[in-house]
Amino acid sequence: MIKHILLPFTRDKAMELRLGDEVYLTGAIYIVRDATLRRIFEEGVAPPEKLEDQIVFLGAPSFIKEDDRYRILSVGVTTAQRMEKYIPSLLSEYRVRGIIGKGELSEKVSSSFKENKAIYFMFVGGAAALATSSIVEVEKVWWEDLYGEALFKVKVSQLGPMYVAIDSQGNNLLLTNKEVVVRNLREILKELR
Amino acid sequence: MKEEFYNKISEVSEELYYRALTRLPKDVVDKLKEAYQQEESELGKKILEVILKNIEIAHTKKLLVCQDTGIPVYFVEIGDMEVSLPKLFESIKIGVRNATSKYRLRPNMVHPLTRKNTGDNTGIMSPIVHTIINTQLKDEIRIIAMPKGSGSENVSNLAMLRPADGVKGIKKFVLETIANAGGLGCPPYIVGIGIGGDFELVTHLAKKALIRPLGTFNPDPEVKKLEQELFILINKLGIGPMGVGGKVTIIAVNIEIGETHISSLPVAVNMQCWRGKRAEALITKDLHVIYL
Repeated sequence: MIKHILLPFTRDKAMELRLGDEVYLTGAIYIVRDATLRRIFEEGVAPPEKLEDQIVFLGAPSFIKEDDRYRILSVGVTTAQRMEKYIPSLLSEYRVRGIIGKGELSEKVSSSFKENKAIYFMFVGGAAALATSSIVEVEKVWWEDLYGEALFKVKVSQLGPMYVAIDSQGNNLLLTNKEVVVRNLREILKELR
Repeated sequence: MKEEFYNKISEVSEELYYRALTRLPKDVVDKLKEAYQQEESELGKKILEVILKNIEIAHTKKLLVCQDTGIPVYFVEIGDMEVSLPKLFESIKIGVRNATSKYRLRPNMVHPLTRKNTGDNTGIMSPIVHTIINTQLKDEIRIIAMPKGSGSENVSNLAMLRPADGVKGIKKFVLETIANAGGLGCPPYIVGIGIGGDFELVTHLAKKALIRPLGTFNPDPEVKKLEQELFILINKLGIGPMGVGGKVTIIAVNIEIGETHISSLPVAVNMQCWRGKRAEALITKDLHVIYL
């Protein structure tokens, strides 16, 4: 199913989505990456805005600043697994409703999406031209000392396509396929010469 | 060589870095189109469509294909021409620095312990420059820029196998490495494999395998056979585009070999995401530049 969603991303909107749905988002999202999350969780610096029912996009843009205005030149998703340990806290403590990333997330994390009725969206890795074209404007940037890993709040229009890879019931599309791959591997190795 | 020659190298290195990030080599695009035709999984096919659309948008809107500006890697092929290596390395470094500032590329390079960003993609041992002897080149050098994304680099692997493991052991290691990589490194992948040499050379061979155009084979018939066998075996894993499942897990396997020790069998697998970025140019002695 193709779904167009207006943000904020409420619990009801999240619960309507099913595994594999093709989604386009319009509204404000936050962009974070490794160093941004280390600042929040390791250094204990609270995010400057409430993240409840918000979308967190895992990536690090390149940007320019002209007369105090920021412009993103390129942004795309990064591998979510690297930041997996922070995801349960983002969902339960900060009430983030959706995470956009790429690649598999573990079973442990899927249960966290289930408990918090949140969604893991998979954006096509490397499809930065597409993601960048959907940016309307940069609303605000915090922690600029982290370069591309600063915290960005960005307005997007029809950001997508992205696919529901973990739904609010904890179904995990990529992990399910990973299990198939492990089985296939076992079969191939058995016959290997 | 004169000063102008090294200035030209800086200029070309700068241009190649940007070209590699904004346009894909034709052989890679052709293989992705083929993959789109062949993919049977519905979601997998959609993802390949998105990938092809993204390449198109990057081209028409002059955007980067992928936001990851990579770790700057260059291969320089030199034949029978006298070149100062310190000057060559310095010229490429200047090229990387200039490209980063001119095109506002994301600075990726950090100190491995403090994680402090150098801000311009250069620094200790950066850019990485490999020199290759190519005796076919006379009055020219060939530069290949291959900014390497971290997603696929992070799922690459190396094994020091025993000679008793043989070809079967090599296949097993390659298959396990790619199964482990799953969808993390942006499949469909291009797989660069190094076999032989020592601990260091084998990884170099794996990376060098990635600069060979897709659809070409290693001239050694035994190696070619292994490339063809692995291509079929790996695609049976079913990882599919971005790990959603499907027929197309990889679009190419390139293998490079080197003689190894009687008691060694090193194997390295260097994964490359679908972007397969590389850009090449020839620079002649009289400063003529041909972008390939």
